[in-house]
Amino acid sequence: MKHNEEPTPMPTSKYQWLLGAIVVLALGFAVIVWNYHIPKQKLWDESFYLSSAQRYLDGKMFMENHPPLGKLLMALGESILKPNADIDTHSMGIKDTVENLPERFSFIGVRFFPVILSWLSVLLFFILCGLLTKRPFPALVLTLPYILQNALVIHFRAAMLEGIQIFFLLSALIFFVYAWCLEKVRYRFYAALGFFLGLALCVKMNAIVFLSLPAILALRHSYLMKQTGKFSFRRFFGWIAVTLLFFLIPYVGIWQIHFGIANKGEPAQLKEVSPEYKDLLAQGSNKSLLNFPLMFRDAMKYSLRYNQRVPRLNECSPVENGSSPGRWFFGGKAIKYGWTKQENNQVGYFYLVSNPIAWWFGGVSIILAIALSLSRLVFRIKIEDGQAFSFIAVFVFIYLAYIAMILQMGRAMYLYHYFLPLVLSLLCGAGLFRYLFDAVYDRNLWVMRIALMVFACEIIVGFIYMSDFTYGKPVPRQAVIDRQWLATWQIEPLQ
Amino acid sequence: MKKSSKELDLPDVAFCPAVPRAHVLLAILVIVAVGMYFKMGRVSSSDVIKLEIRQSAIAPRNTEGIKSIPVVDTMLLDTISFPESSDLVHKSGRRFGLSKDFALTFSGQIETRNELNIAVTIASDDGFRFDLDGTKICDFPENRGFETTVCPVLLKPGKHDWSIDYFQGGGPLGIITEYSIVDNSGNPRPRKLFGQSSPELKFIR
Repeated sequence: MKHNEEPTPMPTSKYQWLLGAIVVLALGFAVIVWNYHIPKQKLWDESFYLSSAQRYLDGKMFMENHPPLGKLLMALGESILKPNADIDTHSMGIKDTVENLPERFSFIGVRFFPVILSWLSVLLFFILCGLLTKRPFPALVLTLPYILQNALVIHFRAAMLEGIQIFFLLSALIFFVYAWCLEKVRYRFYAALGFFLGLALCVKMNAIVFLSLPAILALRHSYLMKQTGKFSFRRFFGWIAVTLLFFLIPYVGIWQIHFGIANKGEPAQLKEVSPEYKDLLAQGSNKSLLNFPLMFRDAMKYSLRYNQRVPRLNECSPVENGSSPGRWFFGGKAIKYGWTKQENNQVGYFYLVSNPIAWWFGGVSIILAIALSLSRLVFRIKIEDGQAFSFIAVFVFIYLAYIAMILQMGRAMYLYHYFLPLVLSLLCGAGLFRYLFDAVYDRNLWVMRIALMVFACEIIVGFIYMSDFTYGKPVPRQAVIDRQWLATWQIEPLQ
Repeated sequence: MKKSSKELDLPDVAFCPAVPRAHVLLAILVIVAVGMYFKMGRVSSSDVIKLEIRQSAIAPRNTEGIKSIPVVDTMLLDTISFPESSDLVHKSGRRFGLSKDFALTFSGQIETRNELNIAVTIASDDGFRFDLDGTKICDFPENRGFETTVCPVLLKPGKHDWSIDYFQGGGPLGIITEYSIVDNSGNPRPRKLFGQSSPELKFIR
């Protein structure tokens, strides 16, 4: 493997990159942002997050499974845009889930930040593909499986956590990839990496495997410095300390904002906390950072209890929405997030269902990436592009670590828990493109361009084919049944 | 890059020295595109059975009057093979979102060149009625568990219209229809799913 490559020479022409960025942002806007207030009904876990956002607005103390940042941003969107200022929304914060929305409730506020950050994540993905492929046109085409992935789009258009989390993780990955390419080690990259990982973990805990990124980067830099005789353990621990510090700043800060805002204790919620936490609330000491460890401990204990209470996966049950990780690889099991009945008795569905072409592109990429990594590890094959191989190997490592982590969990998990490995598999696809085709790209320019255009068309057609389920357009029963390409998806029409 | 003595050199062109990688990629993508066209683009030529889904406020309890229940959906199928289950799932895995209080009418045409003895085997939960050229051949008009009825049929040369009415009240459901050609010595050949043509018997849309 090469260890002293020059930093990736990213721009071929600034205008080409700029044009690519404009195209992905415009496309992302069209599929993610446009009319995001529709449907005017709760989708999947929005009933939980609407309740949490309302509780922040009401200053009510509450316990919830996920860390606070995603829900805080939903509440922030609501308080900035105030689309529901003229209606009483307090009833939404009474229970852990919202059963009935107030009349004329608008989703413009709560969905605002999840949608905007999801939209901006397409630009980050494009930048990552640019850093990986070094060419604007392949970067643009390889971004399409991310933008036009129906399963991601339906999630991104709702008040849910994954879009926000992926935005922060892609930010962290950009700094990781960029820092990897530099020979000179800069502390600010470790700081940025720690900062964005801290934010990602403030949204959902399943990003924990990405904490291996700074450690991998530190090992890489240690190796490089050892080559030049400049390595010292002081530097190594310095990088780790900077990462940790900048990780803790947002992580502790966001949790402390949560503890500080949510201060009105209610009997149902107070049952979940320790007597010491109750005393803090009674004294109004929950705003003090000194009491952070105690409140954080109670929040973690609650999360643990919550996850133990979640039913185990029962795939024999007809009402089970969860699925085993083995099925995620193929895009199963689809989840019906909601539906609307039209006057002509046709039904519009909101289904968490994959664009199969984009999804399987990721699947094929990860299989090839694992094969390449194992070939190097076991058979010592010659590596043609050391830098590209390094990224592929890192993504494969995190992918496998994530799946291993999920397999340890006893509770039911859902298709959207595959989003993080899906993103990694798509990035592996970009890395593989560079690994396999960078050297031959210019020699076969028109063949490569035609191949990329064919691929782009396939992704677009796959997206359009499944888009009825993403936007809830009415479809006849036959169309629903025909769209089930694999039995493991378990798409079915309404009775 | 330092090259270890154990490192394995692979040829620059991974698959076949005569074909550049870019062309291999393009060929794979074209094959995918063709596959997508056949999967998305049109009805399969093997879909020879018309299926009408019937539902109304009054749930069917026997095969009487199934044809008078309004049709809510029509589609095409390749075979009548819905294994016993709690809801209607085709053997291909396609789910129909139906579990109780509905009726189905399967229909189509069969064609034979010579006179042919066949045995039509219908396993169903609940009842069914099998008609050929507008004449009832056999039925099980009431509720039942997943049980089998064998209906012998003598087919004259030419085309024949057939239909099978099926209803599901509640509980488990399913219907599998097969046929076997009875040879001159009276022995039935291996069964095939209704909808799958054989040299002597052709299913037409």
